[in-house]
Amino acid sequence: MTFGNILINALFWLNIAGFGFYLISIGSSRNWKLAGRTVQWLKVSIATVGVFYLGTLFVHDQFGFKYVYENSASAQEFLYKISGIWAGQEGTFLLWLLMLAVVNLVLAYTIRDLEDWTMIFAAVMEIMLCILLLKRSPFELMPGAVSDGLGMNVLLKNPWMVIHPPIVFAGYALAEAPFVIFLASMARGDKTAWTRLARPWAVFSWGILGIGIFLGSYWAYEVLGWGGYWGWDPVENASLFPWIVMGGLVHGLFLQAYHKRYIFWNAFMAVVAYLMVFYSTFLTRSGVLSNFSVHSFTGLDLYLPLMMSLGFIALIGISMLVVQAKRLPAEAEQSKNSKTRSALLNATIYCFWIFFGFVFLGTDWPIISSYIAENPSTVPGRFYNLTSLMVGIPLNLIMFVCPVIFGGGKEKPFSVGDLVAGVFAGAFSTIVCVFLGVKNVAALVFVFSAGAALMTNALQLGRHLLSGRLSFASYLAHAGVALLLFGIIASSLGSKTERFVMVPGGSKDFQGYNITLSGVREYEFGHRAFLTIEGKKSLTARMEFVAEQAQRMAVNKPFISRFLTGDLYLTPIQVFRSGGDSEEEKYLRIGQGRFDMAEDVKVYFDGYDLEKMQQGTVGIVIRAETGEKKEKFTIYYGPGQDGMFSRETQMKERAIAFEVVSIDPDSKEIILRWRNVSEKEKEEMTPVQTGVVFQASVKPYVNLFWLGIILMSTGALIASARRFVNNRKNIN
Amino acid sequence: MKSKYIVGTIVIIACFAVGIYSLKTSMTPYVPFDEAMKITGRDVQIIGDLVKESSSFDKQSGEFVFSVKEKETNVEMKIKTSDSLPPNFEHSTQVVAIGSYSDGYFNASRILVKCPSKYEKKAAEEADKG
Repeated sequence: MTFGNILINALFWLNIAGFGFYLISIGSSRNWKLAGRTVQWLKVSIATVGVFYLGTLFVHDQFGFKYVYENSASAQEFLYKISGIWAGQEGTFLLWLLMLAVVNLVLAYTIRDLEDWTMIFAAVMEIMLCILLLKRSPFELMPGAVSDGLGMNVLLKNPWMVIHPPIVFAGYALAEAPFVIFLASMARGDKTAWTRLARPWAVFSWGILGIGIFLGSYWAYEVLGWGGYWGWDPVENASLFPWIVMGGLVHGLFLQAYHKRYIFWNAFMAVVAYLMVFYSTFLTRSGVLSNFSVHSFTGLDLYLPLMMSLGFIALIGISMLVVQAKRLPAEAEQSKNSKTRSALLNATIYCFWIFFGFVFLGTDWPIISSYIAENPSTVPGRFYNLTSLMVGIPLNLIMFVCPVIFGGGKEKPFSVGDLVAGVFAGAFSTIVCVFLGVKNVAALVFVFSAGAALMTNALQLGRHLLSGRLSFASYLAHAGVALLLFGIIASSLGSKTERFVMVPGGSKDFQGYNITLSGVREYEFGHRAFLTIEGKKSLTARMEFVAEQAQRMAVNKPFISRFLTGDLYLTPIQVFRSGGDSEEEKYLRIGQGRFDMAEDVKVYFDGYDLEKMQQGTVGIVIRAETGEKKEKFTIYYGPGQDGMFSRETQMKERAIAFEVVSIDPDSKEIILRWRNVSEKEKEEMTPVQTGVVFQASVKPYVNLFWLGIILMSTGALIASARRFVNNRKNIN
Repeated sequence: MKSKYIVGTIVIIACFAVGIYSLKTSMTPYVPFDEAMKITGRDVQIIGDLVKESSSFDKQSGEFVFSVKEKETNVEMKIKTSDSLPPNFEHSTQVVAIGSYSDGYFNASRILVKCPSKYEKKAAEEADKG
């Protein structure tokens, strides 16, 4: 057994021990609890050692470990060797376990009377992750020796992807807290104690999950070249499940704190939120949606353990809900003002649930439809767009009126000035979107409500900040949500897009910009297209068409020019050859001394010419035979301006041209690209040109989307910090 | 009190009715090739094996054309798309295309691919070991 696997086993057994110590500690002496806490410290220490150990395996290129082999290579940058820890399935489970252990350690010291039961349930949650890790360990060894790793998936080599997974898994770990606190409270018979204790955790988890999800969308915007930040892909949608339910719980717990309502449904949401953490993991990692997601997850043998974890969480959660529901106190009578607030909060929670219902239904539709129809169906983005509008409008209106009705406090319950300011802001936002070309009436209503909500929340935020009141966080978060929603409509429905097919020297006008393709260069991993853009300011742009040999995949990296009022976004689509009539390209892969066929031509790879080795250039000696005729030529492969490249070399006897694309570092085979050179091309000596197809779009006010996310998440984090402090001081 | 619940229930039912209607009209079912050729004016999905070396690029229109073969029937279908191809298209084994059929081509607005992924490779390695 490897050292890493010993650590995982140790974590499993420590959780069993922790479970036992806390179980004995119920109604027993303090010593058992002390033993339980010691186990918590040990678990955090061992999980930290595990993650660090995995990190050192990456840094020291230990490709004898399968996980390192699959996610790293000796030439990989240091930063991406570190992020290799969470680049695959197994490593993320280990990271998740560490995060969970840390959350549970903090819980042990802060949850006071509920410590024993909370830690018992927390141990069970950790045990489930340990089982996943025992099934799929990042410390498994390779069956044989290898010289280098496959390298990290090229899509993940982005700074945002370095921090996105740890934040999402921190959010997942935090989502466990409200769930186990509820279970503990019920097990102890404390009836309502859990809601106050769980509230800061729920808000914190919601904020962190939001940051994680939207960092992922920022990565997609920068790297994937989809042309957007959200594609309603099943994998993206699944990450929304726990976030939406947690959003409902945050509002439900607020309702309960002030109006003593909703206690059962809050418990229900705490259970569903954590269930959704595992369900989204199940959807994205079990392979059930692999036919329907661009993320192409394929089946791992985690189907059964994930299904069992899900079943267990559902069973324990639902049984607690059913058995204990009767022991919950009756909901309190309310005043008129309190009734209005309750009604609005209730409506907010309904909106969260309706939104959740639609996203859940749409994402699961391929699975559901495979049972009820012969052919499974998927649901396109327009379904989600429509249903989001339907839920977004009432949510915005609630955010708009709440500060107007309740912002002035008890002395001044209704502010007509704020109402008027909100209506003006809404009207202004609508006019801006009409000018951008948005014609959809529902979208304009949505924009009006978002603009109005932004204004009333911003006014309250300003007042709170000026008067030094600390309860501004919710206004900050709501202003952020309104800004985010406005940014979505403006940048998507106000966007203008055009597709261009261009060869070097070509030039086109687009939305006030003149875009010229100045050149396309081939380099070791693909092509780079260089453009000059004249418009608001002069720019030089670069789009990349990357085809990484080691990963056997191609990635197109967009170019984004950011302006305060919106982005210019160039999406690379395709590289093509221009100049002859038959540009179809084919590839040969030949080992030294061997041959492959290009039509009826036997193409031998005779060896290397190392004369120019000093300059870093290697000559590839090729022998081409057609019947009786033989010819020998050398193709030089060396460093160009943007990496390794070779010039195209034509045969004398046949109209075939060759280029070296790359040399496989493991097998030492060469990869040759060849094509038929047309007669016309030969006669006219037309130089072969490489052109590109790309899509240009302008995305007005997309920055408001990102700013909205920052404000929303900051608001949530401040609110949770305030709740944690208040809980310590025993203030409601 | 009662009227509040009635209004709430009606609103929720109305929301879901609109949602379900939208789901019904916008969903794109998987259909066999022969059926896809008959359905017009509505998006459907087809799945097939990528026919190697069948892909070509029309530099005038900027469109990409390739063929897929249906596993069960061996029927080939030409797919035309102006969408950017998924990152791993060149090495894909199976292709999912979403769009509709007209004039001899399946005009795909979106292409998804299934690749011989590293996880499958891992399974193969284990099989070798076993």
